Amino acid sequence: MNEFPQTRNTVAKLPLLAAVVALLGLADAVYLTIHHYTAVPVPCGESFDCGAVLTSQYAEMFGVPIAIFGAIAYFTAFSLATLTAFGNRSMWTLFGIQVTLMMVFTTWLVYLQGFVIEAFCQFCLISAGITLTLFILFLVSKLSRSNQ
Amino acid sequence: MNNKNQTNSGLPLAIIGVVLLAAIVGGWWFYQNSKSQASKPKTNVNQKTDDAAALSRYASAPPGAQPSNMLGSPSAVVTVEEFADFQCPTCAVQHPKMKEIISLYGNRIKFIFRNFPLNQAHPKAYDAAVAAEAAQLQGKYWAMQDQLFTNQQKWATAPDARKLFEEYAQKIGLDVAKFQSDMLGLPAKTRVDADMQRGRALGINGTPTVFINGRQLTFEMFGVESMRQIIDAELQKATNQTQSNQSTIPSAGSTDNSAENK
Repeated sequence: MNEFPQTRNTVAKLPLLAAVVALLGLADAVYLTIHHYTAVPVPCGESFDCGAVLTSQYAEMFGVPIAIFGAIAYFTAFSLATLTAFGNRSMWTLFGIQVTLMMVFTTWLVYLQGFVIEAFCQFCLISAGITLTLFILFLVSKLSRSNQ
Repeated sequence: MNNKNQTNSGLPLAIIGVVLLAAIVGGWWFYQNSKSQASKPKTNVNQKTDDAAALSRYASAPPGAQPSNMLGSPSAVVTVEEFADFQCPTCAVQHPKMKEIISLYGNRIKFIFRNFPLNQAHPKAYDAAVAAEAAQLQGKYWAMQDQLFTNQQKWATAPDARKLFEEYAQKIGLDVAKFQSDMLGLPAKTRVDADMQRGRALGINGTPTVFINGRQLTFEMFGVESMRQIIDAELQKATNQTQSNQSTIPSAGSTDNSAENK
């Protein structure tokens, strides 16, 4: 098992932080998944746009709500970060690959909201923020390690 | 910390397992919870304190397009009036529910559909409403209405929605040249504007908005079951009324306000 030298103590805590953040993402994705199946229709108003995003054709991929993919992705990220936090460093590389993929997918989703559907959904943006946070945490850990 | 890592190698797996379980159980609980909430019809329509004021406003509002886009019987005792925007996703979701209600009740209700495009939020909604009214001028309003709702995602994201409207016109058997000129002419627009004027007078600020005998439904009541309960109650009320004053007047259209049929 790998050991973290004392000097890297803060860096060593990043996986733990990432696990907690991924947990938030998981909760958000589970919420969106349930919402997808049970949503009571929200009326469209003059200024805000009801269920445009969550009822759009982009809300599903192969008939499966995007939110389920999100939940699986966050769960995977959480697991990898947890394993890293408990000392399995090699999992951190997998975590890096995972969050990079998530970042790419999230960018695509935000693009869809901004330019194709032309409406945003709050909980989708929260998810985008969480993925970005995970990605930054990973970058920080990499950068601070290569500096030492 | 390092000692812990070595002694508790099963701990991370246990944590991961607990989180997985929590996500599934939590998700399931939340699912059941919101499902039961969604299906719980709230039939507090009649208890609104401003009920009388709302009813009188409904009765005195401008009548909207004449003749209105109506299905069912003009003399039915229950009037279901829906204000909708063709580009509004929730209205598209509501569309099959309204169709179900219409097929369930047939001539026992009068169903009126009103155009209420939210121009600020939906830039193509007004054009779509005009397209439906242009079809109306050839007697095919409902066929076009159906096309617009079922294909909403296509034309709403298309660069040139009018091209698609013309395709739908052809598909439902309209004279496309007449449809094109009606899209530009005043009669169709005037009908849309008349409906909007009625909607504004009723204080509508979102779509879909549904009135049953002048009472506005809250959006928790948009389900078929909830609407059925309300309609059944209204039908029952009307039957009771006619029974109690049978000797005086025939009931047809007694609760009705708008000069509907022409």
